[in-house]
Amino acid sequence: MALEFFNSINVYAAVSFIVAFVPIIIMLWASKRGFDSSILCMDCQQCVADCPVRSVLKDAYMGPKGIQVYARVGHNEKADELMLFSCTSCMACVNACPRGLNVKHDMDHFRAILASVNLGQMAAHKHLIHMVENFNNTLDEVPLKKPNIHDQKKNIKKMLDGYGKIVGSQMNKEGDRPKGVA
Amino acid sequence: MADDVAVEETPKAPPWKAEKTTAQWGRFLVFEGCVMTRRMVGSRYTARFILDKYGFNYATMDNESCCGSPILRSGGEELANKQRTVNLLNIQKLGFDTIISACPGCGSQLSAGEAKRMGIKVYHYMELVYSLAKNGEILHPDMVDPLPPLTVTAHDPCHLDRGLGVDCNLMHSTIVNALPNQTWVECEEHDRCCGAGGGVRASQKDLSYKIRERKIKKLMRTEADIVLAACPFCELQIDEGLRKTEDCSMRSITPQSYLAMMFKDVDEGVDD
Repeated sequence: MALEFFNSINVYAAVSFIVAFVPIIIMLWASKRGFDSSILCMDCQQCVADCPVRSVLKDAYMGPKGIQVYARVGHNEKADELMLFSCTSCMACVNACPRGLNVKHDMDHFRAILASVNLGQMAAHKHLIHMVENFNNTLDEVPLKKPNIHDQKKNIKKMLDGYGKIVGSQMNKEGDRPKGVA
Repeated sequence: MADDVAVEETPKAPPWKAEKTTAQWGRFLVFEGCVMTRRMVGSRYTARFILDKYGFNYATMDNESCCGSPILRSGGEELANKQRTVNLLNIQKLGFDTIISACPGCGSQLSAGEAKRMGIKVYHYMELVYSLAKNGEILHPDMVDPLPPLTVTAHDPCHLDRGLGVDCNLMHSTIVNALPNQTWVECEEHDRCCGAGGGVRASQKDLSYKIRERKIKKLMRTEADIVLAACPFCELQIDEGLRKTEDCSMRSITPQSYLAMMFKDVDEGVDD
């Protein structure tokens, strides 16, 4: 009786259904979470080969491929553990991807998801957000108004003197000239 | 967020090449960004100096908001998108459809999303200089004669190379080769990340320095005198790395400052 059941056409139909539709359901779920491109990743690892952070941190960092995988299945804790916030957003992975997937968008979006559940973000990231929310810039605790260039003459002069020493221009009357400059 | 966006008018453009540059680029808005306006004021000045010298017709925004790029890397996607939208709407309200960005990060951020739909085009400062170099118009009568002989290499900032899609290596080599007495030398892996971006320099200094090590090694192999880095973060990161390297006289500088330092009157008007 049992053998008959397992040999029945219904079981084959059910298994075929699961094999065909589970990936589609995962894809739809990933797409709903805002990771449209990750569902098209074909696991070629080109992005991993070109990632400068991965070349330093090795397996401690998930790399662009990991972003695709964990974003797809929504594994936030694993993404935090494998240092999602270590990406320098250099886009070497976007450049390397033969399918032209926007891994950078997925990384930014995944960071936002992690931040929303208090994972991954470091003090420096929180500080940047605080600065922009309150002062509209990332550096000075002075709201809105951009400094006027005419008020920066003293600092500009100092920097130009520094550049003169670097370039060995007419401004470099004295000081350390670069090699090859008479 | 400020609604009362005012335009800080620029000095009258000198006649040299003004007609040609205006015909090619029209009147545009310069988006200077947080780092340039608040920290790297020398590069801010030299960028404006170059624009004035070649007669570009531009304006700057008085009440500039953060573009949102650092926020996007910090997990604040919603706030970052809001910052971008506010900036683009303010710029559109002022009647500009071309933005020239001083920082590749700002440019890359502003060019994403709704900019295309709004008909706003985003370029980097150096694309203007590149167009002059390509047309053989970079040599200016106010330049020092002869120019100091220098061997020059360059780092391609990620957000300029891959974000704004500029062929940085070709751009840098064209600019340097268009100037007399300058020797261009290409760096290996010129488009590899310096380690400063994505909030990594701010949050994980050790990692950022480790990524930089490889960049510095490649740059040292060129034996150049100076490294051009068209991004304020890259310039800071590379210059710091070079200064920490023993027996290294190579220094990093933004291309606009490199070019400005070739002018006789670069420091006129900034003397105390």
